[in-house]
Amino acid sequence: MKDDRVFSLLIALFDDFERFAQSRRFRPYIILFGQPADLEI
Amino acid sequence: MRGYGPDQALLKLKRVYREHPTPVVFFGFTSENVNRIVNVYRWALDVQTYHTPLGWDGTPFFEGTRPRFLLQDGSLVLLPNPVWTREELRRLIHDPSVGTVSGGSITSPKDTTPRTSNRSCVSHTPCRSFAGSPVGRSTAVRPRNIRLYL
Repeated sequence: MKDDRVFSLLIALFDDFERFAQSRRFRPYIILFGQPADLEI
Repeated sequence: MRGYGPDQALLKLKRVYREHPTPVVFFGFTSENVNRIVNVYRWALDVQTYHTPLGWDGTPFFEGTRPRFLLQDGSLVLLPNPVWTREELRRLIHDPSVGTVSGGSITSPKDTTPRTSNRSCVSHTPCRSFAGSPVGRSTAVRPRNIRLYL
C-alpha cells in the first residue's frame, strides 16, 4: 500500500476485530476479495 | 448500502453480535473498500469521475456521509457521522464550494485549504473538531463544531 497511514488504520481495524473475537470467543477470519497487489502488500 | 465501509461493518458486528452470536465470523472486504475507511463523504472518492454529487436527472446520486475511525497514538478514535439531518445533507449536496475541483485540488466548506486531489479523497489529517472522541462509542454524541472532513 502506498500510504502507510491508511495501511496502519486498516491493520488497527483488523486488530480491533481480533480483540473483539477474543473477548466473545469466536474465530475471526479476514477475507480480501481482490488481488493483494492492489494493496501493494 | 452505497458507500458502506469495512469499519462500519465492524461497528455493526459489535452492535449485533450479542443478539446473533456465532462461533465463526468472516470479515470480508475488497481492495477498493480500503479507500472507504478514510472517507466520510462518498462523493469525495469519485469527485474526479463525477464532477457533481447529482445524477443526470438532478437528484442526489451520492447522498450519504459516514462515520470513520482515526488512528491516534495507536488507538482507534471514532469520528461520528458529520451530517445528521436531511437538511444538512441537502445543504452539503447543493453547496457549490464542496468538492470544487480546481487544478487537481478539492475544497471543503469548512476548510478551504486545497488538498492534493488523489489523497484528498482519502485524507487522514486529524480533524480537531472530533479530537477526543471516545473509542468505540456506541451512541455517538454529535460535536458542536462540525467540520466536514473529506
